[in-house]
Amino acid sequence: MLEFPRLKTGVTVQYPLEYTAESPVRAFTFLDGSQQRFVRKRIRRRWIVKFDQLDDGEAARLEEFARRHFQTLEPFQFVDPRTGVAYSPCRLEGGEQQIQARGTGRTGAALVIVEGGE
Amino acid sequence: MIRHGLIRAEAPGGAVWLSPSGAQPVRRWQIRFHDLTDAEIEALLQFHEACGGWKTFRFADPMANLLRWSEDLTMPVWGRSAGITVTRTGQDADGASEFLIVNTSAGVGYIWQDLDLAPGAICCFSCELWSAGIDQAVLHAAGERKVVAGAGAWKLEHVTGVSPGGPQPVQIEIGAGGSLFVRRLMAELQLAPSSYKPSFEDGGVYASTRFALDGIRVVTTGPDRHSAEILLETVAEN
Repeated sequence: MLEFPRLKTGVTVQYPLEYTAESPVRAFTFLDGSQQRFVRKRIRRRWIVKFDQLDDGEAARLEEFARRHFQTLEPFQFVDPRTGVAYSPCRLEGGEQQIQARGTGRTGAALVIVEGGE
Repeated sequence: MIRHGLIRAEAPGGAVWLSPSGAQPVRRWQIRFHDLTDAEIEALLQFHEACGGWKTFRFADPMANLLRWSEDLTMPVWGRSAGITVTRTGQDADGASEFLIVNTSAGVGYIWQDLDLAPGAICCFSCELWSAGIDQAVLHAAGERKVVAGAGAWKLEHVTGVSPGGPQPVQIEIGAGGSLFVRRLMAELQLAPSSYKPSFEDGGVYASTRFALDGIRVVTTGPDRHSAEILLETVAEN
């Protein structure tokens, strides 16, 4: 299993960190407007991780991690920094990663992590 | 936002009929939280995980008058102890109804309404009152009480308490033989009274509320610092 890269400081993410929890619901609406609802899928967790001011080494490790993941679709474990809970398997959403090089030691990146396989 | 149900039927020729569905209107609240602590955001997330978008829960509108029929104390939703009489005497310049409450019994009398509030909720019960004599009253809310004296002119009084949870009365206590004029009764989730909001058949506590969206979004902007946004909806059936 792949290991999510850490920055030089030992942390895995930077602020702001965006987290969403979705529990899809199916709803039947009757003629009188009342509804019957039930859960369609288990909770789906998603993190949007944005990095800024990365140095070249950190940016390269992130890029290599994303490249390997997208090539092999090998899942990884992600520790939610808010709770310390480890979620596995996780994958990166979409087929691309964003990296913005603004100068030496000023690289930005964004990854979308989703809990669960396909 | 309040959405009213309509049934729309369209004939092949293009004619359209609209009619009320008869369903209760759906109310929606968009609530944004800022600067929440770790414990607060965790409580919100756990509650969302437990309820999701399918399970309903009780919700007290923080911007509403929680009482039903604040404009008519003679309605059955108001409980009265034996010997208490309530008479509508008129209305003020803003149209708020005024009532005379008389305790004709030889003991203490009450007029009350039960509210079902979550534990820890702050409840402020307020009203304006005056008395021709020196009659006293006691306002009760969320386990707190406050003795108020009827003045020669309308005076706003309030009492604020912390809800122990479950159905609990907000009430006015009047001594034996006492009488008071009251108006603008309001209970709200505030420390102090805000501007009066008249209420009729709907109060501000909704028994069947749910998350209107399937998900919840949290943004962590620093250690112990989070923001979130939720959308609630309910069918006004209380």
